Amino acid sequence: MKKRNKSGFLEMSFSWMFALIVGAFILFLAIFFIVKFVNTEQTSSDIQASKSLGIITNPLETLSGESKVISLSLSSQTKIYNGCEDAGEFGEQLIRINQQALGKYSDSGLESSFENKYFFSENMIEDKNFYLFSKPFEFPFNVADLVYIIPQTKTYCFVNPPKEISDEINNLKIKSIINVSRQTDCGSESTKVCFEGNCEINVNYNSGYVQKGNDRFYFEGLDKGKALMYGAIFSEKRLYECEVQRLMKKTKKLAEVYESKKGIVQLNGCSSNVNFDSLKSSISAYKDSSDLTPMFSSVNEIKKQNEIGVCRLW
Amino acid sequence: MVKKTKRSQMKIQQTAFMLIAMTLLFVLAGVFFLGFKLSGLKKQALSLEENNALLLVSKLANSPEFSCENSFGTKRTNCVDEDKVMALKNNGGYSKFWGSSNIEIRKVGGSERECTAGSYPDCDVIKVSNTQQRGTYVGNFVALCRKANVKGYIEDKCEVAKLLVSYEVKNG
Repeated sequence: MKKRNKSGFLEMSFSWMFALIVGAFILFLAIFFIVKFVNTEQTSSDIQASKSLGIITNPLETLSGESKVISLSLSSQTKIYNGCEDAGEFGEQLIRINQQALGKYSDSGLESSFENKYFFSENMIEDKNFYLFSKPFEFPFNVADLVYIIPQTKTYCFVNPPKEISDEINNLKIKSIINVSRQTDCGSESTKVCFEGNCEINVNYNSGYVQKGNDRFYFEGLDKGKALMYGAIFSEKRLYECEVQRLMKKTKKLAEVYESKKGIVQLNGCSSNVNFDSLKSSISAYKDSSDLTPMFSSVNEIKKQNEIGVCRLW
Repeated sequence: MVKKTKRSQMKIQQTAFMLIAMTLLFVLAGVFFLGFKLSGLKKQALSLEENNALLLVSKLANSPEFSCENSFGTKRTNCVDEDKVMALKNNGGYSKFWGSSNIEIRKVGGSERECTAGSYPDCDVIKVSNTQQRGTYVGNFVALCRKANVKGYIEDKCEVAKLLVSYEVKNG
């Protein structure tokens, strides 16, 4: 009787152990695949959001010569990483989005790239709702529309801006940018942008530069270079310089297109005196934004040549 | 004793078969679920491509590479500068710029004659970017303007055309 009990116990024990080991293995596999699947889903959702960001900015570029604003609302708290690569024909705008799920940010490192976008913002911005506003960059012809991304919970306080800037900001109705006449009127949490006086971001509008600590960002262009000025206010040094470098590449490419157009219209007896050589050579020698101001004399010259020609190229 | 061992072996086999069957069931369910999710993912990718093409075609006519700007008097919306587009076609380097497969302009009621440096302006189809890939086209009507020499006088000549952008439909 004793012997039978022992053998029965051993029999039960082995089958249970076998079932437990294989069951645990199956459970482990199931949990492993669920975790993998959730991560893949999050990555897919992040990539979809970053691609969508590129796509929804298309309407911002519709009417050249105008500033336009849209409000972007995402389903959850989101981190947008703004990157830039200046290698290649036009360089690339890189966007990576990490969305929050169950109180934790996804850690996908996959970026979406766009050759035809120019986004200015801090390197990483975090919010659920964002303002996206755009302005055309003309040098001297329309080169591209620049898009500025601002989190809606962040406030930029413009102290004593020139009338043309305060009017523009008021017309855009962006709640994240406020105009005040004294620095003390800014909220304590806001980023102060001084056009006169001294604060964390100082804009020397007439000399064409923005000073942030030790970094100086130069801006230039038609309309007093306002498009690049906003870019300098909202972005960090490396990103700003990279985006301006990409804009210069596109300016050179467009100059070649206009030069080729000049040849086509001249065949029809429609002459143009525009000479792009000086602009193209100064862009070839371009290093950083401090080269913009010396370059601007040839930009103005080309603008005049185009306006007095029989046939305007743009 | 021998009978007992045989019975326990049978039990172990039963458990093993049961576990194998369960594993297979889970695997099959997993494969089915993944296939379902993957087809959803493909649909999402296609929808993104379609949206991109639709929004691109509506903004392309006003982009610096296509728009008339002030060449024909005042600034006009949805006006494409034909001379500039021909210059752009000859210039190259824009193959990946808009992230779309093909971009072409077709004059409404025109022939299939493609515009090249030799045939321009007596032609009706300008293939700006042509990757030879098949895709679905979305289009937008535009005014296609150029400078024309009529009996020694320079005139602005505008025609109605359709700006077409294709997006790739990936199969498999």
